[in-house]
Amino acid sequence: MTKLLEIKDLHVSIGGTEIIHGIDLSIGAGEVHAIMGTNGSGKSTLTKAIAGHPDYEITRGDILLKGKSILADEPEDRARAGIFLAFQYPVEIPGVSNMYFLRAALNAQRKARGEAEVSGADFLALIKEKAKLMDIDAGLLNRSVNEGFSGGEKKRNEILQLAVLEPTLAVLDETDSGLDIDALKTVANGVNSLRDSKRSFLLVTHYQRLLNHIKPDFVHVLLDGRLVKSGGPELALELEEKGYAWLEQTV
Amino acid sequence: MTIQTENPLQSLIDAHTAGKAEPAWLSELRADAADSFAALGVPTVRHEEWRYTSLKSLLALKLAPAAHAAVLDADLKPYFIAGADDIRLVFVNGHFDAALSKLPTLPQGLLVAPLSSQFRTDDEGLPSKLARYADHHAQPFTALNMALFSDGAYIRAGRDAQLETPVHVLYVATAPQATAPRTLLLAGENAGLTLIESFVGLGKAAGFCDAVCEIVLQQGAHVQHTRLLRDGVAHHIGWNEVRQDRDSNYTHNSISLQAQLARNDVNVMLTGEGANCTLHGLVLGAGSAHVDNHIIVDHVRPRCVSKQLYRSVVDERARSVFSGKVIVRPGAAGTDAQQQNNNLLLSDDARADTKPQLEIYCDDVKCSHGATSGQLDAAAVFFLRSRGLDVQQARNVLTYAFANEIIEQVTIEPVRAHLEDVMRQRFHGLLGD
Amino acid sequence: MSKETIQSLAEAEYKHGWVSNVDADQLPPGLSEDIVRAISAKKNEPEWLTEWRLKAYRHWLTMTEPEWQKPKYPKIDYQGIIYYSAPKKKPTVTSLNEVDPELLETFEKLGISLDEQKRLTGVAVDAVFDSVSVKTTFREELSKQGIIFCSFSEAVTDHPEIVRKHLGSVVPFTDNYFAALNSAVFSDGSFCYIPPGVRCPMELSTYFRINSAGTGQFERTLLIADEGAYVSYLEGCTAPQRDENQLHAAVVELVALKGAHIKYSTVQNWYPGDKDGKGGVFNFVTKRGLAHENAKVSWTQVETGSAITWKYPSCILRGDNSVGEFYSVAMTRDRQMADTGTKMIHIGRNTRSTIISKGISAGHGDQTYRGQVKILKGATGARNFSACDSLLLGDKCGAHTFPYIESQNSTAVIEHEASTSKISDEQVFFLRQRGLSEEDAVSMIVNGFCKDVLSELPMEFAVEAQKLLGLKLEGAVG
Repeated sequence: MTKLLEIKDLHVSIGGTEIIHGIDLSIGAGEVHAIMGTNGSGKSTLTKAIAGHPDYEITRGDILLKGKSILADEPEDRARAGIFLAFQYPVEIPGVSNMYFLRAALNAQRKARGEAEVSGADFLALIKEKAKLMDIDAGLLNRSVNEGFSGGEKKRNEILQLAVLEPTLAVLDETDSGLDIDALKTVANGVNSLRDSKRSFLLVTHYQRLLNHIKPDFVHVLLDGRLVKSGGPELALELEEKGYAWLEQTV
Repeated sequence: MTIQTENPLQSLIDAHTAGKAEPAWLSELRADAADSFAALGVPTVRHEEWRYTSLKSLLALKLAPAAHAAVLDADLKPYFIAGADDIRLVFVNGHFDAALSKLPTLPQGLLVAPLSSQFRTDDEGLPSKLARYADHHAQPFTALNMALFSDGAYIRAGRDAQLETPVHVLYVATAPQATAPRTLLLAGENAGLTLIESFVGLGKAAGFCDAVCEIVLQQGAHVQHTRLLRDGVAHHIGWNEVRQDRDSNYTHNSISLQAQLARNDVNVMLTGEGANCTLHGLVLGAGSAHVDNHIIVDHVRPRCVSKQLYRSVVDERARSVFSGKVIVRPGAAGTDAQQQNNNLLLSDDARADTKPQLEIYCDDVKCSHGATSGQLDAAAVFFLRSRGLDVQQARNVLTYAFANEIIEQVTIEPVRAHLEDVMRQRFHGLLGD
Repeated sequence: MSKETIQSLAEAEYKHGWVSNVDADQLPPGLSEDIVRAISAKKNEPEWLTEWRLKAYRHWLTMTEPEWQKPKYPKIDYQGIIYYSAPKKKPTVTSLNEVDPELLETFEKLGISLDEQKRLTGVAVDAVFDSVSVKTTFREELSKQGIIFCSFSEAVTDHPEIVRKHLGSVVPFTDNYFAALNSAVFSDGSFCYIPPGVRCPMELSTYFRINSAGTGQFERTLLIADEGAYVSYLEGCTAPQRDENQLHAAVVELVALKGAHIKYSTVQNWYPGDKDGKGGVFNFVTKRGLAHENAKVSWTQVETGSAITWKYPSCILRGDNSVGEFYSVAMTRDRQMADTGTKMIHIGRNTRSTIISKGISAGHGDQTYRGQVKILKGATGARNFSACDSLLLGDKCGAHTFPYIESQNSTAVIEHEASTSKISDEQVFFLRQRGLSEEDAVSMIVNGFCKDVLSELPMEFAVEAQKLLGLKLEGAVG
């Protein structure tokens, strides 16, 4: 069966400097994968490459979604095909209401898939339900996108977008960083509630604690632009105990 | 430009040019400058760059052409800067005074001398440098200076030459003279220099000082430049022309402490990629003082950084003017330019006019400016009074704090210490010394 | 952001470039005392007004055209302009049946229905076609409350005492070159008077349309809000696509008496010229409001049209506690140039002013914010806050900020801040990752950038303004 996402011998450069030196990774439908690694190991670069950020150049290898290469696709085409990136540092957009932005994004995606646009009233009902699920203050919906949001609010807002847009592949870039334990639980609950047999997740994180709340099927360790070890959830615990140093020696 | 029907300054040129024995290149420059001054005339407030500064009082002066006068070491003592006076050039009414100056032997690659001593001997080609940066075809007072100047400081550092000791240049005028001092500073690749210019007026009657300073920084050069308008500065017009090549670093501190009518122009052209310039200014004005600071920072090449921070404190009938312009030329991508002007008005008759400007022709920029004008924070005054200070003390403390933020930016330790001293005296020995 | 997106945003087409086929009654081109008299005679004006025009004309002859502004333009041939052009049918009508059907269609096409039945309630319209008022709607309903809303010409006939008292009181004909010219040759415009204590129950609006070739548009608007009155007034402007430049030199005078509040909004979409800068309207306008004690004058403008926009809607804060506001969005694309801003003259005590200016430059567009905040000696306790931000799209445009801040009173507090930056690549990527096209992402960011100003517009105009900015924005504002 075709995997949802296949990454083959991926090499990624920024401004002429290679950051990722050949990664292979397959994610099946409904699977949750975690990629762990230290700062500077290339975690964020991998997520940006999957989402198609124009500054990240793929110098070798391929990324396939449902068996088709997406390298030539624009970021919005990838989003419409079902790839969602929860940003490590969500961007502020002054003057644009969160609600309006989300509806515009949802309708752009639906339109691209040949589905009917959601009316204002239906959208209001939908977002209220999702906000409740994510434990998000309805007040945030009427504020400008991420403007003046606390760190925790920004991350929860990312998960709200995830809930509304219902992607087939959600890539979470250090969504846990900077969160207190309550916010972390809220985010984890949100993600868990969205897990099903068709939707896959790629969690990128520095720490194991997120994985206490979102149980991954597979754990991979990224070091210096390469995946050096893969395993089950027990690998995360091992890393927590021993740190990353023992793996560096194996490289 | 509007031309005054009568231009009394013209007669100074006529008096000056008579009977000089100078090299031909200099005579030619002078004649050219004299022509352009006659053509440009004296600007009036109808001219945009002079809309807030009227020169009527200058034109009403009865000025004598500069002649040498005897000045005692003791007269200048308050203006010497302890720790920054080991290399000192003193010019009295535009003429070099060897007795008051200190010129130690300098290492290879460094020159500090009166310009006049190098007119015929300079091997670096003074004729190709002097008056080649400040444009006397566009600026009337730059033209007047070129026509009138007798002497000034010449500071030169060759490639990699570092002069740790600051060079202190004192331009002293005994009124009612008209003087036209001129400074030329050339910093070669990766050279480092520190220049302090002090302008002092001695005697009661009002004089006129028309100063020009040209500074050229080659690739990687570092120059710190401090300009002090001290006591007795009656009518001062100073033009500073700065050219910065790649990765060079220029810092300018302009401190106007007692000027009557002063106009300071700083014109910086960032002609090399990655150049950095920082401009600070402080104006303390009282009585009927009028101080006008005009800045142009021209970002010609990409990735240059410029910062301007100017503050003024105006009391009684004093007036301050700030006009700062940042130009970002097409292609100067990655420009980072900031500009800040804050004015403190201490009396009902004081006045502050400010014109911060951005002129931008390139999209990849980060430019901002801010300006404020207001009085002392009433809540802060009340707080200090509740702690036992009287009203005047409370106001002094807050005013000192406002002004001192500029003094704190001065990185040349002896100069900062000297200025802090002056400030403390000005604000009545506050803060317990 | 890709070059194509910037280009497509910079080159959106002008939608109101068509010409109506309406017979015009025109005076020959050129300007002289005879032409000024002829205009006055055509309008059956009283002698005092003819004399006032002549004085203005004679003063204009002594003036020279200003050159300090940033946009430079080819010399205008003042003898080549037609100063009076009116639709041939009776210029003012009482019933819709009397209006030339071609004219009605013109305004329908612009989305301005002059049929009261069809019109959204809450907006009364004065339609001005080539400087002459065609039709004013809802007059009777308004007059029940003592509100006078009519063409300027009618006001001269029906309410000469009010016109005479206020005409030129805020913008004297000596004020500037184009104000003097307008005072001499203005043909029509809107007039409005709100009696004391009355809150005007609907939005009043004037819709300006230039149609004829070779004509200048010189309308004059006078708006008086008596003590404690309130009015919200809107104006919109379009013009056909023509290869030659057309001059629009209007004057707007607002008088807000004690405690009155005037809100004046403009959506300006004159023909901007083609992408190479050929043709387009020169929009040289003088707008000024006088605020008496406790009064408020609020300007909101969205400037997207004209080859050159050159105007500074201003507030003279004469009365104590009076308030002035200026909210502006200016967008320049292709070869458009704008030099706009405001003047806030603080005369009274505790006067307050706010300036929010947003400039967007794309293509070869070039724009300047020029503003003056002047605190006079008696303006104790005056406050001003100004924020001027510019957004640049593409590397061939320019944005300039020239504030003049003059304080003569130590108790005044003035704050000014400005920034210029390009549109953020990270914002664009974020929105694209959520599925928006690059063009929509940019539009959304631009719209957000302008929100503080657009939200000041009455709802109906806000929607029009958003469309004008080339954005799909339903629901984003408000």
